[in-house]
Amino acid sequence: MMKISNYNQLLAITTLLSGVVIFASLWHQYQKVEQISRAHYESRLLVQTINHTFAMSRLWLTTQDLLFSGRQTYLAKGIKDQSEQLKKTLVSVKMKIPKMDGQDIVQRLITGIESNDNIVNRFSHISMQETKLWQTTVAESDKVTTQYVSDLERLSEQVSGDNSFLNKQVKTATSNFTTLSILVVSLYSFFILFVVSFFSKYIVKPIENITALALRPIGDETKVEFRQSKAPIEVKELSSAIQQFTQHITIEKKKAEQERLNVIRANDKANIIMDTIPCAVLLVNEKGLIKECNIETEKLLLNDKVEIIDKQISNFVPALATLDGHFDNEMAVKSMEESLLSPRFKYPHIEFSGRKIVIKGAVNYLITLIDINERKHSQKALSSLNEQLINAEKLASIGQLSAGIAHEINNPVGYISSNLDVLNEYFTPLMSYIELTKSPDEMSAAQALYQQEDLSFILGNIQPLIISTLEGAARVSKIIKDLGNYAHVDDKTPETISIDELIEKSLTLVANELKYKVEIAKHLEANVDVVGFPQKLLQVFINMLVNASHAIETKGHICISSRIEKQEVNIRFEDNGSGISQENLKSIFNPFFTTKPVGKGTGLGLHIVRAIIEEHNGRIEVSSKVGQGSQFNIYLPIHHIELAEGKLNVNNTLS
Amino acid sequence: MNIRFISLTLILMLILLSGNVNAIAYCSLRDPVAQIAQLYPQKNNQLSIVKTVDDNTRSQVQFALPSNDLHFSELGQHTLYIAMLGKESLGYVHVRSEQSDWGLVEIVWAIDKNLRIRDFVFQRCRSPKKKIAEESAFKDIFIGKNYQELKALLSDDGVTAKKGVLRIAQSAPELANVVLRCALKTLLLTDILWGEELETL
Repeated sequence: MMKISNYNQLLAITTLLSGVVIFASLWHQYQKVEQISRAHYESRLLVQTINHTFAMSRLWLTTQDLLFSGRQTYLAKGIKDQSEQLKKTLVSVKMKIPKMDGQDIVQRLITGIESNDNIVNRFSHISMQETKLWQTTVAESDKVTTQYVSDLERLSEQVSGDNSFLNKQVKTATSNFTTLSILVVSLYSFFILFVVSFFSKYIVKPIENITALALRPIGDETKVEFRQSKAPIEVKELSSAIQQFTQHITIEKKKAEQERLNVIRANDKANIIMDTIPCAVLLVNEKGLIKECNIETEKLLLNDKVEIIDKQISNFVPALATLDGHFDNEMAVKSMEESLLSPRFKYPHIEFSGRKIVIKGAVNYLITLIDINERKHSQKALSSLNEQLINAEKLASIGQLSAGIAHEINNPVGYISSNLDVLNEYFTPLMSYIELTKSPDEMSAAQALYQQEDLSFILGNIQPLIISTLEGAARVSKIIKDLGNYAHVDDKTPETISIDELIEKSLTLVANELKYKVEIAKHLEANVDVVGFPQKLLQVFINMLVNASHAIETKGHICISSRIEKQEVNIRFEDNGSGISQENLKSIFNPFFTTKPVGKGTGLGLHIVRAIIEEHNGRIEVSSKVGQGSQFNIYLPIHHIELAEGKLNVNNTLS
Repeated sequence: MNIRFISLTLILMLILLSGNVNAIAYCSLRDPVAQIAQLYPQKNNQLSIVKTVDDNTRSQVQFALPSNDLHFSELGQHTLYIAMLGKESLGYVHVRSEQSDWGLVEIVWAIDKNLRIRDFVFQRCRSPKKKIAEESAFKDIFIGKNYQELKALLSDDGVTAKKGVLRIAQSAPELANVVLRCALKTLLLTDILWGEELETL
């Protein structure tokens, strides 16, 4: 096998050589035909000349016959002229005629004419009476002219024969030329067909095979053999390369198929995840049109997928629309714990979050919507429960404090009662004295009564008794007021609270609880307001003081301090009680955790404390050592930082 | 063609068509004495009747043989020879000249008493094919035929013989045409000019 280029060179050389041979042979044959045709043409001209000579001879002979029959000797001159013309024509024929015997005939014709001319000349000298001589001379002329006619016919036959021969030759040569042309063209066509067939078999066919194999529908496991054994080198190399390429493609195809299956599996997984994920997931394009969604979306938006796709997301989630109604792509990448569906939804509470993703160069947004209606409902219920729990715990603490508070109230009530008893005793003599003094007649009796009852002492003692009674009433009033404030459920809206005053109130309420075993030290330096719920914070402080008191078994110290630290107010409760073990320290804020005996504590105190602190966006920290005491630090944010700092500066200046 | 030759030919044509200038009979150059003897070897005497071929005769020939007009040179006195054995007529002899490719051909015709061709010989003929015409195969084309039968041999052109005749005379077709035309004129003129006299014989 050779290269295609070698085949081409071979073909070019072969075509060139065969073309040269073909055209050379054709040219040669054409020249032959041309030569014969020329000879035939000249022969035809000669035939025409002979025919012309015939016509001239006919007239020449007829003229002679006129002379002979009519004895009109003046015709002899004309006959002589005709003879000359005939001779000239015959001379030209002699020059053109190719054969020697033809030339001899022509020469005999010329000689005959000349002989006849001599005989005709003799008629001029024969008289009318010499009939015999005339006839003898005519017979003599007839002999010459008969020979002339015979020679002329022989010449004509010869020339016609030559012409016919040449005509046949021309026909033969033309036929040969035609045959040769057809043969050559046929051979050339055959050669071309052979070459085409050869090329088809050895070059085109392998390529067609490769093409057919490439176009054939291939089964999954069918191995296609592209390699061609009988083909030019380039085609062989090409087929081998295609074979390698297809093998490579097959491998890659298998890989791709595997990857496709993986993708399908992943897609199935994703679809399953999408359809089982407990939240609505939507794919939105950069114009806010929903392009894909899961089943949960249909449930949440109460529509079929068909009704959701290609709708604006803002139709369902108004928060994702700008003021002018367009898709808010900045909002789409944010997370909102609470948002709302459009007003037409009965359960509109949702939480949404979004991410920007690029798919095939296009910006899209993956948005999740979580139905939080139940959570909202639970939150409300939990909030209500919390409130109830806090109140319950508060009432429980009130119960715990009630004995002390009663004692605190009983003291003033006792001396108020005692004072009122004394004042009641003072009332009768004073009223008698006043009655006596109303009539002048009984002035002396009045005086006597004054002296007798020692009214001067009474009058002097009444005012201190009233002052003491009022003081006691005020004290009771304060206790009851503080207790009332404590028992009162907070309003929904927060209010400004002075932390130090609130600490003082808590101390009032737990005073009786503390006074027999605890020495209170106060360092209230915060002097700052926070925004919050006063009753809840009061509950916190009371809890902290009661817990500290409970940690002290017999005698101890509780130090309460408040101060501003950075942007927070720090309230510290420090005791030197029994302390808390490290194990318990981890659990003290857990609900229902308590180390107190059964019935002594609810286990919710510190849990509620932390809940309230966190509700106020604050935090509580604890440090404790067993046997040394505990320290609780409560940090609450100051909402009016500048004001607080200003007051702090004033306090600092004063201090 | 040479101009001089053409002018000469035209002069000759004028001479030939110059009418009744020449009153000498155009039958033959000489008396067919030898030929009569050849055709009628048993005759011991002969008669000759001279008649004149005039324009009237010429018109009749022109009517009967439209393409075989008589030339002016053929007008004038003509002789019909009657071969006699004693007082019995053996047949007639009529000599006529007919133009051919070889000049004038003089044929001596032997005619029987029924005006059928009995035989013929050439008195003057320059054609080398004269020998063919003297053969019996050639002669049999004409011998025994009267005017009508000979006329039937003419083709539609009125000048040449039919192809069948020419096939028989394939070696000398031109001569056959000349002989046929000559025979027709001879029988026609014999009947026209001498018909009455011959009936009285």
